[in-house]
Amino acid sequence: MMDDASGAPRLDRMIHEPSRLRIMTLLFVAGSADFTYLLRECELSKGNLSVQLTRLDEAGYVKIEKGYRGKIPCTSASLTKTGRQAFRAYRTYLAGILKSTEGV
Amino acid sequence: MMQDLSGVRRQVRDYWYVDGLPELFGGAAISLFSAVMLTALATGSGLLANAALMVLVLSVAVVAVVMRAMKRRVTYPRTGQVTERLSSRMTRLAGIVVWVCVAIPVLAAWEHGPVFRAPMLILSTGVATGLAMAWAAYRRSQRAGYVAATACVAASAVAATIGVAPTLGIIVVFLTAGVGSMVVGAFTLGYYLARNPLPQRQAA
Repeated sequence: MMDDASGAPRLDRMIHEPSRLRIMTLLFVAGSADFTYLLRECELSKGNLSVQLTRLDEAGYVKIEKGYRGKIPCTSASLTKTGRQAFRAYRTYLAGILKSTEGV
Repeated sequence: MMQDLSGVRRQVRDYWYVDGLPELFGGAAISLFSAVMLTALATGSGLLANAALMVLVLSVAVVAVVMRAMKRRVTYPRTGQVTERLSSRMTRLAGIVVWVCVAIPVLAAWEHGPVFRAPMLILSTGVATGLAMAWAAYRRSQRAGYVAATACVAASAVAATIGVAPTLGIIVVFLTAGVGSMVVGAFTLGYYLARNPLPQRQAA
């Protein structure tokens, strides 16, 4: 979870964006997934998925590995330790907000 | 889409079975082992009985290699590849402990308990196999799996009623399970291929 200047927790916008949240959710559960699988399950276009994966990679949340399956290029992604911790913190943060609004 | 984590987890866990290949090749291996064992029992050949065990051991390795190759050609280009996170060491250890706790009394009963030498052993094997297949069919939404599960129970009931030897009865149950599994795999593979055509590769 990210903290603001006062030290209070705030929403992690890197994860909160819907497309990236889908990717992070899937990778949080799975060990790793290739581009084709993510494309189908996250229902994103190739370009969008590529961009979002790059952003998550730059943030250090996702590790991208490029290789070949026979002669066909293959890209797979998995969560890094930082990414896993960030997702847990994000989940805790959201659960806290939802709990605080119970009975309102 | 999939914001329900337990649903995603289940989907990832069962992804290996999405194409029916494990049922097809696993069933083929079990059928082959059972057929050779059945022939060994019919002819009284110790050599064939040993060959059946060799088939069982070799088929594990062969099926693993063939399955990987088939998945690379059939499944991954169509619907991609996802791997499940490895369970923790404690979970794996707990699984082994449970297996040992179940296996020791069963083996002891097999060796010493006269009740387990009766047709009840065949029937219980058939029911246990049938239940396992029905559970798999339920989890993977394979309707043909229920038919295969019922066939297993029916085969064990027939074998128990006729009064065949326990070994023969159990092999009949395994043969039914193997053939049933192959049929389920073939159905699942056909459905999978029909629903997931190979994507056209873009020209470079």
